[in-house]
Amino acid sequence: MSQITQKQAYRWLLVQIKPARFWLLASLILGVLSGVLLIIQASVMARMIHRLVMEDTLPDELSGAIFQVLALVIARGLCTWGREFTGFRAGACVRVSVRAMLLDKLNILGPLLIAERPAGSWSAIAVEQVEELQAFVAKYLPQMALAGMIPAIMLAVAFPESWVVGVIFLVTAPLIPVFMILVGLKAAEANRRNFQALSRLGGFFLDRIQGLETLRLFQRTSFARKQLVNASEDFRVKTMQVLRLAFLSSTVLEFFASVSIAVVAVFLGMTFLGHITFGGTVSLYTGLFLLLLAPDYYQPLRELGTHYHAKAKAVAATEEILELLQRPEPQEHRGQLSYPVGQPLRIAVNDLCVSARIVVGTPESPAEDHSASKQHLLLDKLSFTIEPGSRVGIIGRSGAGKSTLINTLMGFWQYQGDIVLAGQALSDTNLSSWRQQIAWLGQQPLIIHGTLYDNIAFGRPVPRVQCLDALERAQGMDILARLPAGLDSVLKEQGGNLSVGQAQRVALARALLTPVSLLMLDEPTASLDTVSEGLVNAALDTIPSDCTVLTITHRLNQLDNMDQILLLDKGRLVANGSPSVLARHSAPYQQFINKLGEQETTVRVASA
Amino acid sequence: MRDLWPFLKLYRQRPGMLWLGIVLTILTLLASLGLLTLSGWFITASAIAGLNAATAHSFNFFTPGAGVRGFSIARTAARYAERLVSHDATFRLLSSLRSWFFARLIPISRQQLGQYRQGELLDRLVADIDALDQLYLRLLSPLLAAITVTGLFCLFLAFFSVKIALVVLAIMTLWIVSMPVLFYILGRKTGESMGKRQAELRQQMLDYLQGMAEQQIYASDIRTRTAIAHSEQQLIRDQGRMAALEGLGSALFVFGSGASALLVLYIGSGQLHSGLFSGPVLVMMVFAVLASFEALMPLPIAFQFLSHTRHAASRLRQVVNSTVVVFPEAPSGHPVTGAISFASVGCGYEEDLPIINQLSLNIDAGRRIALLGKTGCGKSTLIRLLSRTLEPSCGSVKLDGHDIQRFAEQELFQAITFVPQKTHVFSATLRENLQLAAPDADDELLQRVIRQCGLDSLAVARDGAANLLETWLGQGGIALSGGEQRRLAIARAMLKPAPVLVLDEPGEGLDQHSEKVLMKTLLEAFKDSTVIMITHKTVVLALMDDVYRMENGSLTKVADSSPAATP
Repeated sequence: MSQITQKQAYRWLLVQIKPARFWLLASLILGVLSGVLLIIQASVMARMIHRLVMEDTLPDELSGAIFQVLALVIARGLCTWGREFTGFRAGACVRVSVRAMLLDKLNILGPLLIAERPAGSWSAIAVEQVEELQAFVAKYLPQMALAGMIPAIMLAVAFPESWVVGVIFLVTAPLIPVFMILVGLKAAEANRRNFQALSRLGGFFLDRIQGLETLRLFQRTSFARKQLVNASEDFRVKTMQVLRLAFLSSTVLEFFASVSIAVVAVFLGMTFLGHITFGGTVSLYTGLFLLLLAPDYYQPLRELGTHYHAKAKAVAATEEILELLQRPEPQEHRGQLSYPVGQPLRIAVNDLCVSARIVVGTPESPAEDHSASKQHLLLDKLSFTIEPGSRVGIIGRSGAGKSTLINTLMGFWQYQGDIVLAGQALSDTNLSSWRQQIAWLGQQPLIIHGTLYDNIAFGRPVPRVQCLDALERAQGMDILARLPAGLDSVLKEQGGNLSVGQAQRVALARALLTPVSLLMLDEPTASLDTVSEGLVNAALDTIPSDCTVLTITHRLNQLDNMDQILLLDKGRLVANGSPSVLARHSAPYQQFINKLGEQETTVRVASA
Repeated sequence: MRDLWPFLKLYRQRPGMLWLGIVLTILTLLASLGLLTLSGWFITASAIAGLNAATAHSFNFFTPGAGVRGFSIARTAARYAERLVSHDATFRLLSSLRSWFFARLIPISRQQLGQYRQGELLDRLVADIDALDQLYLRLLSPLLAAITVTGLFCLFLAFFSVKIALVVLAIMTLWIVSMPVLFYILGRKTGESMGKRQAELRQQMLDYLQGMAEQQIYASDIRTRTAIAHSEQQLIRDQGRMAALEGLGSALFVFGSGASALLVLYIGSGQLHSGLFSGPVLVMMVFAVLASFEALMPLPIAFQFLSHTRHAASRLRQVVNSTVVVFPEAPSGHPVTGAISFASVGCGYEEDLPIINQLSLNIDAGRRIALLGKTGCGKSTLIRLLSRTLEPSCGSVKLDGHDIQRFAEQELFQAITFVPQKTHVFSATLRENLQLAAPDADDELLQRVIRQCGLDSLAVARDGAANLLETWLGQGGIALSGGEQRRLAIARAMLKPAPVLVLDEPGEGLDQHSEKVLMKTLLEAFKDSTVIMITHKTVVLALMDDVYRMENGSLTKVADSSPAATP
């Protein structure tokens, strides 16, 4: 896996803000406007005070200026609000586009890659990590521009008033970024480590809670609690070490802001008193105006400091996002021919090889390099044909390549060799048109968050009657009777209102919903008890005879009803034929069956 | 606030640090206030003094000059110290909060906790605890600081003008009282629905990813993506409302500080004219009001998210207030040989829906029994009664003739070794994962058990780690397959010999051959113990003395599958 550096991540992030550029620009303009209004406000207020104190103006004469300031304050408030709003929109734009990219990528990578890790860890990237980009786009980026622009505008205003104060501002301002860089580099690293440690600690905590039951059974709960305390204590000490340094950067800022206010004040006072003359004379108006400006001169930079967190978080999240986005994509077959609907589905497989690695290569030379692909073959030169409407059993020890074969036929694996479906190569066939012809049922039933109807229809626009019909064929009417709201009852995940056996029959109804030419079953009864197994098997018997059924199975009693058996061993096809022929002539088949039989004897004893 | 109270009480454990943090926050604010206030006074006073050569000469600029410099240094130092102290305090809180929660979680009956076991809810609990970590930094400290600074500041103003002091006090008090209420109310509804939307989006995403194969086969990809996009838009709409509120908070702050300064200037100008105080004092007051609003700045946002924090607290409170399992403190002292009896036991997760009904079963010490039955028939419930993760609603469960409720926790779990249905692989080394069962086991013993349970294939197949025991498992390490997890569970059991062994579907994920070999090894290690095994596979029944089938919460004896009975 390529290591994604922070720099790469940051650069990538800056490219991603394109869809949000108008919102960002709006946010920036409002920020600048707010700064300009602030300068005007400071000027008007300074003028008022000057007139009151130095010129003995009556309070009543100031009402015009008072209304001016009031208007300015309201306008600034509106700008501030608008900045928040536009910044938010910018962040939302970026999030939507990045999330869509991630989902597209996951879709291309396909179910087999997703199955490598728990689905939760992928969804954490697509949901939580993408959320981390918000503050970076909405707050950090506009603030970064403002931190340069507002001080520049203020300098331009301050210089004509008093060049000395202008110089004080000018000299301290560049010093700030210099110090920020000096200290900030360390601070960024510290920040990053802080996050890492915090998430590791969170993971540790979650892990121990998840395993609480186990800890209890072995009476190790108090030990785990001690571990937890030690880990947090360790975390605190280490983090505080780095934070001591990290906080220096903001302290430097604070220091410069405070000191330059002090220097400006003392300089002005001394000038008024005549102790300093080199700056020329200044009026009280100028003095107050500059003093009012001073804190706000440093404010944008200080705010940038508070958003630094957001940047560190976003970069860390981007590293994870990029790790996913930069994964090599499997070469989809780019066939565009539609599947020849209506033709009888004869499956002819010749010299089919599937390697464990996702082959990264150019489309012109797909894995010509045999040294790499030979390393681990999941399927090794398989050749067989399946006639339309056959019942085919795929058997073999675990790891023999049974699921790989089914996944390859569904178009989830890259392969070498030929797969010809109804006279047309799978590699030339548009995958979605092929997939309309197939249905699949795995070992673990998938129940999505939704109603019984949602779970059977699975996004396909079908009438309710059709769902009921499918459920009936799947022997699932008892499930319907038990649920309070029929098809509209919300199904809960495993352990909720469905048992595994019931869930499997719902999944079967999903597979039987629309007529297909090929049904693939990956040990559909492996996780079921005998009663549920019987129900599922009964349902499978009613499948129309023109539909080909491929079943991966471990059950001996299911084999006799098959037209054809494929026995796989370590990726190779070691027996192929009807069960009766194989039983007489195939040694590997006989061995395999005997072993299965031995194991099943106990079953019969137990249920005698 | 009632929901937050138990958590606030935790703060009492470390009062020093927390108070110090708050005091430093106040000092920072006061120094900042002092800096601007004094500067304003100083330049106005010197400007007036400078009009006349004599007053200019006699003007004491040393004291205010030093004051200005002093305040600027103090502000910097106090801010630095404050950040260090408050972060340190937060980390300490984090530590004690988690340890407290963990300790409270331990004795809660599994029956209650069962609903939280699912990954997502557990994640949420952890997130809830994180939300409470922020209570001090975001809410408590700014609120106390705002109140204190307001009080001190108005007292200071009262020296010069009681009227202005009262006006400022009124404005700031109004701010402190109304902002929290306003933003709490405005933020509450959106905050709640935002949480829901987020959970919804997460759920949809999870469904989409888990069902990717089905999505692609049934071509429902685009439809699901549209639904996800819709949820995302709804979440964004809620977040947008929150952001708009945040904007409103900042806008009100800008308006409030500006308008108050203006008001003070207006009232002050009248009083200046009537000679109540001098010009420099007026300037000082205007600058001070501008600066004092800094103390009020964090309030809106703190309260906008308060409802979020409060909900987190109430969820956690619900958890820790669940019924706990009470074990006797003192050991009963009864020696355990392994005879178990269930006498007319009834129990269930919901009161009117008993899973086990009037069940009676006597198991002699040293007997091995298997429980068959379809999923959800109550097999697992029966053994939960033995680990007391579930209590019977009637009848009794006895160990060597004594009710198991009379055994101390340590005693009970020493007498029974469990192999639960789900194996939790801790994010730790293989050694730690095994030593869980036997803290004092040496490497030799561990290595032997590893070989016996076939766990040694772990490293060979993987990166060939030099020391198998140091191989990191779980999150951030090697993910074990279903079969390997079972092997680990059985290895743990082998390290903890006991008079009773209880197995819940020990062969899941193992092929039949390996299951048989492994069971033989395990039963050999427990050859004198009572064994209760739940299974729905029938491969290993030959190793058992009795086989029972469970149906509708009651038991029927199926067969004596002792070796003699095998044809």
